[in-house]
Amino acid sequence: MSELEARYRRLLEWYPRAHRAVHEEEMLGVLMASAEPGRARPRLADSADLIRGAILIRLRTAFGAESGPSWRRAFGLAGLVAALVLTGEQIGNAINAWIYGFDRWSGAIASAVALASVLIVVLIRYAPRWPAVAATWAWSGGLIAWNLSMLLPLDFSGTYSFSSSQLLPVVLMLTPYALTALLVTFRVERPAMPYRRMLGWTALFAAAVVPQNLSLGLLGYEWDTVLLMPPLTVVAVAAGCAARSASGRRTILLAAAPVGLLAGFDLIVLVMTGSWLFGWLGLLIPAVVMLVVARRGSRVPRAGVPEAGRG
Amino acid sequence: MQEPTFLILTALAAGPQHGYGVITDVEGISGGRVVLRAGTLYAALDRLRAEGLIESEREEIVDGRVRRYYRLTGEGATRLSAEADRLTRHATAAVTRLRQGFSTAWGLS
Repeated sequence: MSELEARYRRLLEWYPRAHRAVHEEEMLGVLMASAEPGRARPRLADSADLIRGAILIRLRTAFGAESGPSWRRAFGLAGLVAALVLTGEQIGNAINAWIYGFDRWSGAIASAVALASVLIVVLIRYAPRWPAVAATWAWSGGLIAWNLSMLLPLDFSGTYSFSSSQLLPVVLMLTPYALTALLVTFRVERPAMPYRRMLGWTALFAAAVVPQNLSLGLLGYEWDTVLLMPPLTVVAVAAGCAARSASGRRTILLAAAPVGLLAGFDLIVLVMTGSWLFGWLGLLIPAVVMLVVARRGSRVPRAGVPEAGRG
Repeated sequence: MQEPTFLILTALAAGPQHGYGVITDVEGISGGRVVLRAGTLYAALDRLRAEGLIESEREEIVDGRVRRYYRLTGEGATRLSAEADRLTRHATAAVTRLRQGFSTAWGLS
């Protein structure tokens, strides 16, 4: 392989993988045929043109008419995924309430909340659009009101040392509920997710939430980051698996805000309160996990494979 | 329709061509004024294929590399024909107006 060809190949890495699998050799043929003899480096104009072409193709792949079915599937899945994460967290909280509850009612209340969330998940997955939307907004509104009634009287200043406003943690904590309902509202088609996968990931997430209560002062505030990471890491592995499909990548984009806030809330708080190193490491490691899982599992289609599934 | 798109469709109007053939043909049609680069060409081909105006016809291996031939679809031929009619009408109108202006200026009308 000549130096020029190697450099062109590196530039072609800007293109979507599926496009490269079909057109890379063909484009290289054109580029090499167009290059004057003896040239070792691509001309700057050619490099810029290749990068511009790659960006155009990526944008069209992501948002063009061909991506419509993927977006519809993603809008269907995003609300369900956010509701599943919320439910997993509430199941984890219910288990914690039974273990560490201050009175006999705390476990029962937390279990009832988790059970209501399970019901909402079933509705989002199986019910027609508008009953599912109405139920999700009612559930979301109820949770926000209930959490507000408990959170507002609390004083966070001793725990979080927020310099700006105490309202911020409350908003961050409750935003996922509203965002979940919003995503379900835009659900065009019923989400297609096997119930075994739903059960498996939710159970895993709930199990990852449970150890968070162990963290109270056991290892010291900052080292507790290790115990705060499992929920976000479970989400990262699931997202890495989902990132292998076009609709999965779009689902990640849509559900990122509510799921990220839910699973990474404590880590975000660490960053906001000045524990930069531990907070950012706690957020960065799951992000790397997601990229590694996504990369390891992605298959490169061979040349000649139909282009319909790309994106 | 933008000029490069029009020229690419024109290059494919007479028969299927591969990428490098389209580049040289477009340069010839435009009298050397439009020189397509590979990035621009393949972004345009990708869009035109998505719009159903072109399709790949066949592949052959040359020097160990795939060479893919593209051709106009029926829809592509219709769109190119409509665009050519529009440009012809505009060109005719421009020539007519210029002649009128010339005649008026010299008091020939």
